[in-house]
Amino acid sequence: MRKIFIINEKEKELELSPDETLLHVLRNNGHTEVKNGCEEGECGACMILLDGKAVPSCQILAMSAVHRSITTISALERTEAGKILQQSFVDAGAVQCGFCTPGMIISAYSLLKEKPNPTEEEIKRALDGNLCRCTGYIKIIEAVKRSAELLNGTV
Amino acid sequence: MEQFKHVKVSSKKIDGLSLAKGKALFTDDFTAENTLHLAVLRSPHPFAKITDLDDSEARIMPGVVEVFSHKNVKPVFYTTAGQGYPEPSPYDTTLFGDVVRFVGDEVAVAAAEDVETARAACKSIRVTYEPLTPILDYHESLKEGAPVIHPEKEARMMIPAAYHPEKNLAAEIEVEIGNIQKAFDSADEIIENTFQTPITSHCAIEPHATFTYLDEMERLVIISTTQVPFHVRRIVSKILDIPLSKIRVIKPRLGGGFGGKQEIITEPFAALVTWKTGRPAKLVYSRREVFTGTRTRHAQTISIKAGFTEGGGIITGLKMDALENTGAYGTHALTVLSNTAMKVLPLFNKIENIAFSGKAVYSNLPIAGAYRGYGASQGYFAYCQTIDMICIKAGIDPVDYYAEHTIKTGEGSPIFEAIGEGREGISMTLDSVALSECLEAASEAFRWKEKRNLYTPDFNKGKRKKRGVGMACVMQGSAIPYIDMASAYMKLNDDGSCNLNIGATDIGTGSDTVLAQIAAETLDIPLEKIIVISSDTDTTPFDTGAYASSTTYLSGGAVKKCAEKLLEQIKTTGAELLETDSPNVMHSGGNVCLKNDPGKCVSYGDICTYSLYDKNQYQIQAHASHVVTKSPPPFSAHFAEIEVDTETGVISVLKYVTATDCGTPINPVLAEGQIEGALVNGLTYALTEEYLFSQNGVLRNGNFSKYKIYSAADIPEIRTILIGDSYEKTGPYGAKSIAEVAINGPMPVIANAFFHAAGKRLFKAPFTPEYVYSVLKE
Amino acid sequence: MLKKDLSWHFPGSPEEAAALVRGNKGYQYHAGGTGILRNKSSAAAGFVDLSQTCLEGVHFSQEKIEIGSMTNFTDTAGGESPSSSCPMALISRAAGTAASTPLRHRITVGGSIADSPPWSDLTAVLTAAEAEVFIISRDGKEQALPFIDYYHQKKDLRESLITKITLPKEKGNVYCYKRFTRVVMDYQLFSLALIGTKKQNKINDISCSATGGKKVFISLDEVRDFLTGKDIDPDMLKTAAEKVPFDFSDSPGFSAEYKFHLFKTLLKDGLFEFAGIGEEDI
Repeated sequence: MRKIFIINEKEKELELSPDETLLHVLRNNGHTEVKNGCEEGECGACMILLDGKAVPSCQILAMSAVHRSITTISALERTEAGKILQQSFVDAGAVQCGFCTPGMIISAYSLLKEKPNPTEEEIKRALDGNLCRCTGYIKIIEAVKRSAELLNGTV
Repeated sequence: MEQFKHVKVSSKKIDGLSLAKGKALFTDDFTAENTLHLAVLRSPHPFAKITDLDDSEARIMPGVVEVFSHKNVKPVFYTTAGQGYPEPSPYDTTLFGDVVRFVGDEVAVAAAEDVETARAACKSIRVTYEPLTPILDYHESLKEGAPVIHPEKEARMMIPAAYHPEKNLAAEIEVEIGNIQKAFDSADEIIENTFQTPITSHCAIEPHATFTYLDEMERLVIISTTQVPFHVRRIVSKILDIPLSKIRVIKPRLGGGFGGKQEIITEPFAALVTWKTGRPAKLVYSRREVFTGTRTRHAQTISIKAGFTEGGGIITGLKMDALENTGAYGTHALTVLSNTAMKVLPLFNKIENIAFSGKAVYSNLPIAGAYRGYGASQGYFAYCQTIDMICIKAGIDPVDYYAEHTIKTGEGSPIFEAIGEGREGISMTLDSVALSECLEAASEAFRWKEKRNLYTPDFNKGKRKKRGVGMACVMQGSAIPYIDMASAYMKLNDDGSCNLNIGATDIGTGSDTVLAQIAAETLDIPLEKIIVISSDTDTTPFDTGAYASSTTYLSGGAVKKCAEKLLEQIKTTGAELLETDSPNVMHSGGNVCLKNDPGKCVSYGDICTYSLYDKNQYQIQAHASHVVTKSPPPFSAHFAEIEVDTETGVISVLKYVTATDCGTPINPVLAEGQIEGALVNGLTYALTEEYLFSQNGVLRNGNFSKYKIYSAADIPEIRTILIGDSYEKTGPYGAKSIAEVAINGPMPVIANAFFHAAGKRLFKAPFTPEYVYSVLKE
Repeated sequence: MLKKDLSWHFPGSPEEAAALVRGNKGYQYHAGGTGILRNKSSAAAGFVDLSQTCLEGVHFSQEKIEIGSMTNFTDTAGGESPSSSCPMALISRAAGTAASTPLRHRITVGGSIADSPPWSDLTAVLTAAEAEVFIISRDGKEQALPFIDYYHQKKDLRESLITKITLPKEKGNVYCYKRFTRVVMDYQLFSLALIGTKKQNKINDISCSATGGKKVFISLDEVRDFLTGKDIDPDMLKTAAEKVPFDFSDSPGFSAEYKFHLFKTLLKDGLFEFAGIGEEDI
């Protein structure tokens, strides 16, 4: 069947099956920036924003996201916070293999929208749904801290 | 000390932004119309004969195009190990067979229009199994009367190495230097203990996947999550009997490997489907399939017996016995076992009498393979606790002990010569050992003496939560001397930019960037002017692949040589343009200038334009290959502070400090990233990770909800120090490698800290709350 | 595996939703969906999505806290609350530490009550706090049940729609919530909820409930009976923690015996926290 989704502020009619997860529907319709790491809601590689809140897309049945606002990493470079996060991740060495990175940045973006000045503990907690095996998280946390500083003009 | 412009610089990863934007493509992001999707039927039994396989229902299912099994695929014996030919792993595997050897072993593959249909097809295949008695505990494998897991007469080693599958022995190493018995007989003190490490998973966030298609010339293109594209090409050619020249293997962006993708696993299945049907094919493993159907770490049981002097704790004899579980097939069995000795024992190179006795055994458990640390991690768990015990007995601070007795610059070890990687070892003296600097820097940053003196038994007395500190030093290696080879190709373009084509495989490590930095340093042009293409068997020259901590040291050596050759041509043609001879010019900042009149310059761009179009035209291009003759170890000193809740057995790591000598860190931030990633992996290797099986050999915790690794919310305070002034003269710009070494530290270090806190030893990993509690109660 | 020909429905009111499930065999409620994806039941013929039924929100009346069944865990944990309300603090703690940050945006209170999925179980908290569950039952009428009764009748109430839960706004002046996990994002091995009244070093009343045993939850009545009316004393609390009739089973990585010991330790720690005694005071 075909339904209308609002993805990255554009309306799109996508082909889907009523039993499919949002992750599958997005990837099958060209959104390969949303990654599949585990399909059990644990690794966070599939993180997207649903109505502005970070959620793992493998844990959403696509039909329940029809007409709702879905944001993937691709849209974030058009926002100030997203652009700063993406560059900060690169600058800090927080991107190694990069597979977890889109999901990680989505979670960080969601955090900074809610808490523009997070403590280190708050950053760590906000990322508890994103797994990374490459970096050990140190530089990821630094990148989020730096992004907050840049966004608040406190650098 | 050399002054660098482009190395020892934390350049941004050249693919960093494309990854952060989600634009870079990983294997599963490649699509084509008409793609067939694959699913694998797996054995539910740990050990069984297949007496019948009926795929008739699958074949007629709408949407199913092909079904492959031992019924229609000829058995060709090979090893799945991504190693150089002839591989030092037994050829004991066939793509399909009529015997299954672990729960998850591949029985058949179905190719259909979509994944669900392929899975349904697999479900409909009726297989009749005759279960055989399995070996589910590798300690039973060598016992008299144990079932023989590989009775096939075709199973063989390609190199002369001990291989006795009739005894379930996949590899065996016996080495003695000096006279170990004599040393024990005359020792003041003897210490003897046995240690055990678990089966664990790499947990790279990207699952294994392969995408294959026939290009317009009907050549087979394999895009895969591989650390070893050239080995994939050779081995797929062999298994499927496809001419090597008809195969192209490409590694796109890859989401972490850590050794788990140094194997030929998914490629042959997808390639088979494409080759037979002419259609593109895709196989993507589920997370559970990654846990059961790819590779694991080799579990090991290691005993160490050491004889030492009463005063000073000087070890006069040390014997290490290792029993290694290689699982159902022998990939990497011999070489991991070799490294357990070879990357560990030389650390204390003054021990005059050393013996190593190692056995790798088959069992009906998931297949073990390469995993960061590669035997050394297991060895260090036993070794560094033994050293700690000796220090305590002798009343010596282990920091002082390591400082005094470990290998120094200019020294070697008889172990280097005695044990190789399937071939003979090589004699080697080390040119750069900055371990003392590591010890000093880390112990100071950690406040070792202060904390060691603070957390005494008196301090901890009566407290429920006890604190302790522990430390250890570890090393690894850099590439495999005389066996592995890397090569590079470069050409100059009209604007002064260069192409750098390398076989070397960036699996997230940033090697594309690091190698480009080396080229940039040689040519003295900015990193942005280097265009990197890597890991494509058609367009890049050979490289053995991303393993054995090789890329910086070995592939970097090839890149440096290649860039030097390119520079020669640039200078020659530059001199021509400057109307002088080559010896009269130098290069700087992307220009060739007169030595005695540096203002007179000609840019690389102008040189290239001239060489392409003007006179004496030629393409400025070069290639180089490199084989190393040494494997200079990186060294790392690790310190941890822990707290143990004595009522629950829960260990919390509070603080962890490392200082590492990797020679020149070509890219310090990326080097730190390697340390930090390996270290956090090492923390959960020590505390939470292990495969748990049912009585029938079924994995009970094969997903992320049951098998736990850390998220950012779990990490302790971590401080990473890179020793800045170590220089390895045999490495490109003084570099050694760094990818693996840090994973060796946490397990013994946490155990040593636990002893300091609670006065008891942890002989088994992981240190789960229940196990720790049981040790505390003993 | 979910059926490929599932039907989806988006009713505009709770009554409509309940009627749809009542009237169609195999229809199930869809709240956040995390429980459904975990179970992937092939029995579901259709999903009745609740996102448009206006069942979200946390409200406070004179005596009650009302939480709409579609309120997600993030909102349950993070909303404004009267500072002195122990029940609210308890459910906030439980919701705020379940699963992971992003999953808490999806997990709903109603979904958690209906399914008790391992990563978001509120059972201990709702039992101890004496919550009430409001449902639209089989006859289409609204009904209120004490949480314990809802729990025991869950199987029969599968078709009923949970519309909200209520908790007493004021209950007790002390609470404690504990859970045991191996890492931060983990299914809890146990969760423990304590709520009660403490006055001048005496426990006037205490309610204790826990999950993680063989029976999914239990009210620790023996603990309650032992402690009610007693003066606070460390040895007494330690004795109370031993009064656990819990029955455990082995799970991967944890033996039943060790779980029993661990639970008693957690309970003891919880009781000390409840009583306001730090470890240094022992």
